[in-house]
Amino acid sequence: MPAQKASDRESTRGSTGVSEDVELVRRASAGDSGAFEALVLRYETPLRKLLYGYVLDWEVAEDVAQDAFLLAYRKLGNLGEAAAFKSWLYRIAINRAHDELRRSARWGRRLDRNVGEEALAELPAAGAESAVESRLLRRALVRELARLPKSQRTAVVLKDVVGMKYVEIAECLGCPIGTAQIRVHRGRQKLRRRLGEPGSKAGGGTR
Amino acid sequence: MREEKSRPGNAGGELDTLFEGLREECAAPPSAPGFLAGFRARRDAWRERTDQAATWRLLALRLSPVGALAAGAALVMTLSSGTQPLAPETVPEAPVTAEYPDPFVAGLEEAGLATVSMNDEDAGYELLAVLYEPMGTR
Repeated sequence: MPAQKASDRESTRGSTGVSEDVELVRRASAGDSGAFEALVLRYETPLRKLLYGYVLDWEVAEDVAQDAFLLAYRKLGNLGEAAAFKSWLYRIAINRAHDELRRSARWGRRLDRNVGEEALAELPAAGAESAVESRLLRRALVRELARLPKSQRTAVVLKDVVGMKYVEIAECLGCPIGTAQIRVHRGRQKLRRRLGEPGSKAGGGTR
Repeated sequence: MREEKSRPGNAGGELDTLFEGLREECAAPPSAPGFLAGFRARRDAWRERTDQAATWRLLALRLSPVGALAAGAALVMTLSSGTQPLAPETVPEAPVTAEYPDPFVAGLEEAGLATVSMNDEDAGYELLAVLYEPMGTR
């Protein structure tokens, strides 16, 4: 048998995952709590990673992820195609993350408060200064991400933080692939303009 | 559209580097051993609330219109009693759009007294209408 290409293997694994989802969703819809818990275990880590890209706080990411799972559990009957569970769940989680950001006016302050002490606590003493600086820059990036229009921010986070393909982003956002590409492109353009202004540090852009 | 690749040294290159750092942070989530237990606790609390709301609704349907109004008011009191008082900075700016799942709105929806829809564009949930049924007239 010829060696299977990596992309083929990925594709096979993906379709297996979808068929498992379909089976679990079918059982969960029929009232099998264990089946939904299996879905929770399956998507808990990817969902927390996705949400961390929004809120930059693992505890908040966990809280929002649990909330998203609860909403998915309650609204499972509204899911049209069982195969679309993943993108549907991600959409719920993204909406919840936006709710959380909007509700939490203290979010920006928490970032500012934590960045110095967290960075210093977690990083080795040698080169700590540059490590702190790069962490600060990442915070600046997240802050600028938060200033993007929701549609662009979501597309950029899914592409550049989560590492999704355009086709997956389009599925998640329920839009054509071209629209997803344009949103990513425009979002990146704005970020570059705001972070790359000559003579200004990344965190200093206020436009 | 082609995949955008930035040249090193320019603003785009810096952006890619920043995203790379962010991806590295995201790639190593701390373990969350209590995640499933946390989900179960939320689910069970929701089930309990749903059961209570169903009981109130059943009661309201059996009462006269005046009694139904009183039962509805009691339901509202019950549902809102579980909510935490909002800190000043968390008071929603636009009262027309309800944050969801707000326990109060969720309770109304579960009791069949309101319709709530997800609004993708606004990243939130909108309380479309509160439909008080002519309870007790059935």
